[in-house]
Amino acid sequence: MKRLINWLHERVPISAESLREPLREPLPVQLKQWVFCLGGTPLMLFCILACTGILMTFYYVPSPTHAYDSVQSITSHVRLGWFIRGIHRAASHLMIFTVLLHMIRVFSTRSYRRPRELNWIFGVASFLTVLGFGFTGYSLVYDQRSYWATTVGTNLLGETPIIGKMLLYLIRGGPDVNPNTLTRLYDFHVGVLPTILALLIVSHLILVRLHGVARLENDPRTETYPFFPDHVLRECVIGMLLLVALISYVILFPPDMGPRANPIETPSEIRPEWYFFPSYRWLKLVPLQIGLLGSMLYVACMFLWPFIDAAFERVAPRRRLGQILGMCGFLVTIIFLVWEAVAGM
Amino acid sequence: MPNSETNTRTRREFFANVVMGSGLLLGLGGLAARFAEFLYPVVPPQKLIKALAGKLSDIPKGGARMFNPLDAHVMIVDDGTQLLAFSAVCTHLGCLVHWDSQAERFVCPCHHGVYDTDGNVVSGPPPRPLERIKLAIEGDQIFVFLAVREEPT
Repeated sequence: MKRLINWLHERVPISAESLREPLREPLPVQLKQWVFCLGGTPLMLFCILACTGILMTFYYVPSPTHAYDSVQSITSHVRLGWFIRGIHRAASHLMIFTVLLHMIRVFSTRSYRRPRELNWIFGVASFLTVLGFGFTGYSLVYDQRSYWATTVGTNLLGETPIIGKMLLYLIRGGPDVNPNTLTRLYDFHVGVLPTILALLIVSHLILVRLHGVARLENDPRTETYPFFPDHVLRECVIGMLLLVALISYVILFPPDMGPRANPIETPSEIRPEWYFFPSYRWLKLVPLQIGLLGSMLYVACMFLWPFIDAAFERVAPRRRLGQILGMCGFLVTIIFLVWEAVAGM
Repeated sequence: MPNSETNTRTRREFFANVVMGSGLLLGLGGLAARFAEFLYPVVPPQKLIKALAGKLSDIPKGGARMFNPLDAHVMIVDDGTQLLAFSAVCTHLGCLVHWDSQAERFVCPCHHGVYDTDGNVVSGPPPRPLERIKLAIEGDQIFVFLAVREEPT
């Protein structure tokens, strides 16, 4: 055994000592509270999604004539297919939810402030990438909702000023939704977006390690506790709870499918997944160009939030105008989400 | 003059690095542009084609019906005085409108855009009227003129 270790050490010259220091990184004591441990959850879900996603690619056929049947076959005929697809689907919803929770936590504790602005930007980019996963993912099922969500979503991109038409053609593979569109969405879902998200996660983690975890404002506590084993064990507990929750959900609510995509009929009741409810409601309320520009402005504000908040703080240091404005934006988003959810009941 | 020689060498190295770096960036940029060009689809030009949509007897009196000649979505409506043809594609975000016979309106199920029998926007977010399609009636048959793209061979 010792000879094997020596052989390995000669080829991979990393000593246990050199690993010990980064593993023992001192973390602020607030991380002992569960609400501050949300950052690791999307990473665990990403791993679950990657595993179940890879498994499904063994059976999924990305062609308009076979996609629906292949998903149906995964759900009904493949051994434990319903379970793998169910976990993938539930984990995708949970991923969006947990990234949102993590962002809300970072927003409310203002952990995005100097020098962590870039990390917030990586976080927002990750959130948008995760939404892109959601969109491309449910487009692949090729049921009615998939088809019409693809039509609406890509048309919306096509309305982007200046580069809209180019984006539309690149994503659709032509001016209209066509057989090539599904292949492209599949490529985005299994190749482009995972690469982007993996790079964003790595960059995000590197910056967290370089800056250290942000301490809370006005928190006098200076105690720390080590990343390993204390925090890792805490994350493991969350991981196990996550698995139990996912498995229970899939057993109680196995994945289903809507009717097969029909390009000559838009169903009378059609809505996107819950995470697109706010933008869906917003687009119903206002003319298209205003809707699009408003959405772009919203995303730009999300990206630039650390700088906007800092500017407000310079203008009125004690009033917390930035936080009040941010909370208003967040509340409007929640109101649109609930409004659309209630309207569809 | 060892110092100035060192400086000259350093400057030369610096310019060599700038030239090589620029060349590399230009090369990679050019390659990326070719990749993007590869992904950009070939879009054939549109051609106007006369296609049979249906029969006069298919249109309910004072109502409308959708036809799909050449995979297009054409809504033909009898407005009481004449037949009109529209593209059934909502001008908002591309869903297909339905005919609401009670309200005598075209309704888009996606974002609730509503159009009248002339295709004009009555309410909701659509930015412009439904696209009019030229039609011709020959005997009992209704023909429509559609802009169709030829598939690349």
